Amino acid sequence: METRSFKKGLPKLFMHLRSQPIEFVLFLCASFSVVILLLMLLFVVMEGSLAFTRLGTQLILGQMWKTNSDLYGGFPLIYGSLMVVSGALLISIPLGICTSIFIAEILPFQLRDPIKSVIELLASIPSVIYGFIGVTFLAPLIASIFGLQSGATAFTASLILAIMVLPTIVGVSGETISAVPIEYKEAALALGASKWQTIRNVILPLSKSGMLASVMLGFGRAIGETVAVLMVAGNVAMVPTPPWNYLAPVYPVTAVIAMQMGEAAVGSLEYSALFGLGLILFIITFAVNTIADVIVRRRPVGRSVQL
Amino acid sequence: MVNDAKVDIRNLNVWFGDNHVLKDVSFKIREKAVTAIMGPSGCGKTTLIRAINRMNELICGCRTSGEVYINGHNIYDGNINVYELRRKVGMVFQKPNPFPKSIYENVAFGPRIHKMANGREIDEIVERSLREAALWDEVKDRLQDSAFNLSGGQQQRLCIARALAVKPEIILMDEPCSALDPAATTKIEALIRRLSKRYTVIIVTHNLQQAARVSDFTAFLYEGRLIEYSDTKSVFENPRSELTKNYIAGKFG
Repeated sequence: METRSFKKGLPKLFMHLRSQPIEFVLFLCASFSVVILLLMLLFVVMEGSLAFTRLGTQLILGQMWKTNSDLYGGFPLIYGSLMVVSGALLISIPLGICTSIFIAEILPFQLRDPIKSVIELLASIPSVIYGFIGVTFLAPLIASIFGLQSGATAFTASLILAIMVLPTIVGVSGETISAVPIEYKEAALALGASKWQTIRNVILPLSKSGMLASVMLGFGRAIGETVAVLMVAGNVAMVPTPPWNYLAPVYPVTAVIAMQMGEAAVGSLEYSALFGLGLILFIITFAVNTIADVIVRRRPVGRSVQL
Repeated sequence: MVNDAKVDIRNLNVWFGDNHVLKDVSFKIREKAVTAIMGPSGCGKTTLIRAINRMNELICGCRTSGEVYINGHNIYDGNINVYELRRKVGMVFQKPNPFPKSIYENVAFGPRIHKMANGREIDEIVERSLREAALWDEVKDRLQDSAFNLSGGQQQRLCIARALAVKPEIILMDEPCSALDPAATTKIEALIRRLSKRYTVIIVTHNLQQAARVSDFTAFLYEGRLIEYSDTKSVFENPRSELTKNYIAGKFG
């Protein structure tokens, strides 16, 4: 038998693979996604490079996005994205964390799994369905409540996104709550702590980092969402006045890319600017997901008692 | 046998789902003494002491019948405040389980949630409890250190101090030494003897020698039934039941 230590790195791995045809095939399959990721990144960088060299920081800081006049200032779009996503998180964080605490600590045992599955089901609804519920139901409702001409606003998009990221937040923070060792809960309860005191003083402090991670994963999901957002955000490439006016339409980055890519001539500045925006989006999502990953991995909850 | 009963258990039955764990257990536990509950694994020892502070009901599918009187009040009555009950009946677990907080915060946790004191008074409670648990001299200069930096035996004494901080009357100990080395065990046993001057201590153990060393009274539990209960000396020297005799002789367990 051959020893399977790959500690000596890639050269050793390749030597090993050469003698094992089946494992070589598996290796090819496994490499596929990594290679695709790198190729995609390369492609986006190449296509976007024209915009970065010609527009420089204008692509991020420029105030005007007008394709007819060849103005590609991405600021209102990036602002729109961040506005919609922060609005969504403002709603879904309290809602999601309260839900996960309720499910993990208060709901009777028999009901936990069914309720969890129902919430997970939210994640399996195609985003276009969220979009048209937003268009046909939510937008008119918001228009009539606030007396607006159109209900397609940043607020509408935030509401839709809040529901879409709820399963992520509930799922991940629920997991961290369940990961709190039962010994700590018992210790608190045996001292006469009530359920709520145990949650607040023992469970929440121990699940903080996992909850933070759940929020970041939710952020990553929300900022990348396209179809539902472009259907309800109103799509006006301007920073609202005043800038915190959630009842104004915005044009998030993903919506711009989806709407305008089809019309942009390949190789044109517009085409490249859209890729540039895509790259910015990619970097934001990548950074946030990486941070969330790091937090989840070093969470101190399961630390065992040293004897 | 016991007249001045602190805890009076009558016809206690506990089920977990279909599993009948405790069968008609009745006995009285003397105040300010150490009562050991011994028996082979799975005989219901832990369930029995967890019935005294109503911790069993936190487990899914648990059902209890019968009465447990503490100071003459049935703790299974509807009008009993279970949080106050658990303050009065402290518990120390098998594996030391300090909170991932500082030594100080571990002891202060109980007084804080029961709003028993604030500020300087908490300092006093912490010191008093740590002294009572024979840990003060070892930790007085590092109260803000994480409890995880303590050794296993120290952690267990910290857990005892944490239980003492809320001024309990009864202390339940669920095999408190089973995760500790002999030196730490000796210290805890000496501590248990000292605590029994002021508290009613009920200790679960499957270590026969430990029961013989620390307890005034011993109950022998087998397959959910109370087989024998008497003062420790007679249980070990003069067991009435054949089962107890065989258990003590090491024929099973």
